[in-house]
Amino acid sequence: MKDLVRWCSQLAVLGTALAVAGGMRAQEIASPIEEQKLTAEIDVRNRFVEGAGGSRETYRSIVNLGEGPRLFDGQLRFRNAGGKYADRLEASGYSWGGDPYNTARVEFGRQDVYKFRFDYRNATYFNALPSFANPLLAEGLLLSQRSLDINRRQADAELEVKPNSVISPFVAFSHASGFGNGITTFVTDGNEFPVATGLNDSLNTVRGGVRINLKRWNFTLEQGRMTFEDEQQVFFGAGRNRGNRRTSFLGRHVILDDLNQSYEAEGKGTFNRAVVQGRPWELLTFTGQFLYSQPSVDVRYNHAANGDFVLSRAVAAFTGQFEESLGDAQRPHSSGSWSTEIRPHRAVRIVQSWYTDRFHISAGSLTGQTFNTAPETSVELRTFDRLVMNYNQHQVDVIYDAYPRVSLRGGHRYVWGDARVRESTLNLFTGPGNRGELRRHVGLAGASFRVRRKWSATFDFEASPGDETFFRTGLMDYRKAKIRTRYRLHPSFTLAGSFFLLHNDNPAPDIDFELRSRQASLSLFWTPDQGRRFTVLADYTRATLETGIPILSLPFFRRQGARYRDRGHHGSVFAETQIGGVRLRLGGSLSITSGSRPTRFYQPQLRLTGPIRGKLSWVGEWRWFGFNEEFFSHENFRAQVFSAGFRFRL
Amino acid sequence: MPGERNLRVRLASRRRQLTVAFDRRIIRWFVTVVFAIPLAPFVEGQDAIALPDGYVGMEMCGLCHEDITADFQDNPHSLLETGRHREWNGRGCEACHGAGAEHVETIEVDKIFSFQAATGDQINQSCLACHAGDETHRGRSFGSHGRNGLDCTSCHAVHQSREKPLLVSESNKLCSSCHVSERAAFNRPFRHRLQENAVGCVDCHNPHGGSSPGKARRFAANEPSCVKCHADKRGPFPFEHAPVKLEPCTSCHEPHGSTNPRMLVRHNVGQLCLECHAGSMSTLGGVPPAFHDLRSARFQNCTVCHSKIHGSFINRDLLR
Repeated sequence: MKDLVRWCSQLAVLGTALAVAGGMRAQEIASPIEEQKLTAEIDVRNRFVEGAGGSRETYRSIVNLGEGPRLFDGQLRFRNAGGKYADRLEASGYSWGGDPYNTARVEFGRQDVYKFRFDYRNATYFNALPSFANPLLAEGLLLSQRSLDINRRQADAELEVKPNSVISPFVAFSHASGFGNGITTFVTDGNEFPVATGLNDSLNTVRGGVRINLKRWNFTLEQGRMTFEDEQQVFFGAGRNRGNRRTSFLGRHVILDDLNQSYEAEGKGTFNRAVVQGRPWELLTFTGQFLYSQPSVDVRYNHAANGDFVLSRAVAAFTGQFEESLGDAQRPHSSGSWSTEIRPHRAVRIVQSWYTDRFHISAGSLTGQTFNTAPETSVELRTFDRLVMNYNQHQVDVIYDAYPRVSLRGGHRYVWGDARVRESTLNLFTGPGNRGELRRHVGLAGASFRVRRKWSATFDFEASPGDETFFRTGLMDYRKAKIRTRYRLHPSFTLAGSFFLLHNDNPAPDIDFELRSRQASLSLFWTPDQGRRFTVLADYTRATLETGIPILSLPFFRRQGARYRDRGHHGSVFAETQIGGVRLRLGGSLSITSGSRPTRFYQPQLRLTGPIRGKLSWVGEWRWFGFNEEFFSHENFRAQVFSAGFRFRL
Repeated sequence: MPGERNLRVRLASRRRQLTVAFDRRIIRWFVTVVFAIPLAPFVEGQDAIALPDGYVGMEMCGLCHEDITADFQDNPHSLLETGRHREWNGRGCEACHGAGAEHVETIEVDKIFSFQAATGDQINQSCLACHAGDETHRGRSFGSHGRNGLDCTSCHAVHQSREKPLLVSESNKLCSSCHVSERAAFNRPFRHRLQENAVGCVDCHNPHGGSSPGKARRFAANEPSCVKCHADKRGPFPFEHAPVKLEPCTSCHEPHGSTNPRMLVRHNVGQLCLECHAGSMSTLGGVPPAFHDLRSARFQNCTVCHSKIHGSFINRDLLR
């Protein structure tokens, strides 16, 4: 009987254990812990711009912050473990309510079922610097003839189904558009006229594919299609536009009375991508990918202009012109890459990579021009154009872990290719067709070491004697060195430094180009007591760039040296501390350069945050912007920007 | 070693506390290990996993490392515990750290794979065991981060992080903690709007590496990432300006920030153009395009007339 009781009790314990264990496993594996968690943060403020002085165009070109109520920052995170349709939702947005740059992001999904992501960003791009593209500056006209006041918008959405499964399909949509106004020029023989332009372009991309995730192999297949539209209008009808020329041309003042220009470009294209990634053994990893795209564009253009003009090739005056043009272009473009990482020995890695990129653009254009000279002149132009590029790169690195904390690296890169471009208008020297070659052997060396979490440093060096390069300022006979180091003096105190050097020379007698670039930086990050008392973040960079190259000074083709110098001090420092219940953030950045365009740009700021009640706090911020240019003092500006509001944190 | 002795004492003390307190979790673990797990597969309707020899399960890890395991269900790596993929199933912490039985028995750090003590390459190999096939890693062999053995945990906080994807801090701050001179460039007046959150480093760069210089991303298969936003510069144009297609945009523009308008690499557009268009026969660019008198202000900024400098739909001289 006792045995039976013991047996029954043992059975009961075992049964209970099985039930508990089964329940535990079921809970852990099948249904995660039921839990809902919501966190949110909202920062709403009103902004005031006070004490603005100087060039408003430059202020808008560089800062462009306006007045009024704004949503500075909004964030929401919601977790709903075991949710039927979604187990997480994250949303964030910055700078809404009229600011020039605003973004939004939404992401939600259910683990192992699907993942959805949406990104939106809008940038208002205003650029009307009085000194840029302004031939009439000497006459006191502060009008840039290449001005833009446009919006660029970008939206991306992607849905991935069963993201951690063996087969994981995905589909994505992307939209980019630009619209707004600007100033451009209309060019005729002997004069050019600043005129208004309206810009409107959009690019839509749809892509979809599948990822196949096996234990040691991964494949991605993707196909996409894009459509493109660009519609531009250029117009003028506000009287007599005298243009930039103040003297007569072939005995006549060239003047524009009215203009209507219209561009319509429509493009489309498909693209394909195939990627294979494999790790068949621990000692071998490789990746290969093939990409192919074939975008094409069809163009319709026309313009009608009236005024007082001169047709220089006929030495004849006329008052009206009409032009109509049709064109198209297509670019078959294929790229491929293959990389392999082999570990023949525990301490040795051999990394090989090969990359090729090749395309050609074939284009044709048919243009008809009519000038109301006496007698009328009609011209028909047929133009065919072709641009070809083949680019290849192969690199091998051998990485040797000399000690557990020290790695040494050596390698070789070979870059080669060729290109054929449209010949120059004055092909006195080059003949029809303009062909270039690229050939470069590069020696590579590097070292990296890490002492626990305290100190890490990397050193990279590459040099090439150069052989052939596409363009005069391209990399030729060059040396490039890079050192980066981080030292954690204390868990709360980190120092980082970097040094970069690039010397590039092209000693060919008809080029004689030299470039000297150096950048040395130091930064520190100090957060004692995990930032509860105060935080200090500071960085400083000394950057110098000098280039020199002879150029031909027109119209007499005199050889003249062109030098560019930029020597800058750039830095920022921010300190954050808490005094009583008030959080104080003080700091700013500066950029001071001398050389070819001496400029000073200061951005000090102060922010105070204090509690009101519970999760609600107040925020006040002051920012100052000061911009000074030595050579273009009419572009200087200063502005004080205040903002005050509330922050709610859930 | 005094440090090791202290650790042993501390861990032993912690174990005693747990034992004395007769923690309910220990009972559950004990019952699970001794009775349930070996038999659970035979129980109909249950889907328990038998851990291999030497594995103790995440519950056990949580006894000492409660700070890590407490909120682990919010972590994408919780898949290692709950997911049914590969050989992770139910291993949790041990999927990365290896079998933990010996570590539990001895309470010695070197009896388990410790990322703190591992070399960069060891850390990377551990992460790449699962992540080598990730889409973002396809350019890893091209990138300097990989070649320099920068370990994954330099940027990723594997156990918990508020920043996606498990970054140790906010993405732009993280990049600039090493790339200080790039951060400094954003203090210049003409720049991409990084500080305003309009763009981020990873919008243009793939930190894991890529075949393009500077780990620049590609868009729509093989187009430079710049044209994703600047769609009007994409083309193809019937009349291309060759360097726009043959060279990266950085030949003329400084993408992080510049003292020069339009983020140009020279203070003067005329100089930038004539550095190539200066009559060299050994390179592309060749002769100047026309007999302009550069002494006149009209011709000192080439883009006044050659406004379609990125490519023209209708004019071979890029005038309109």
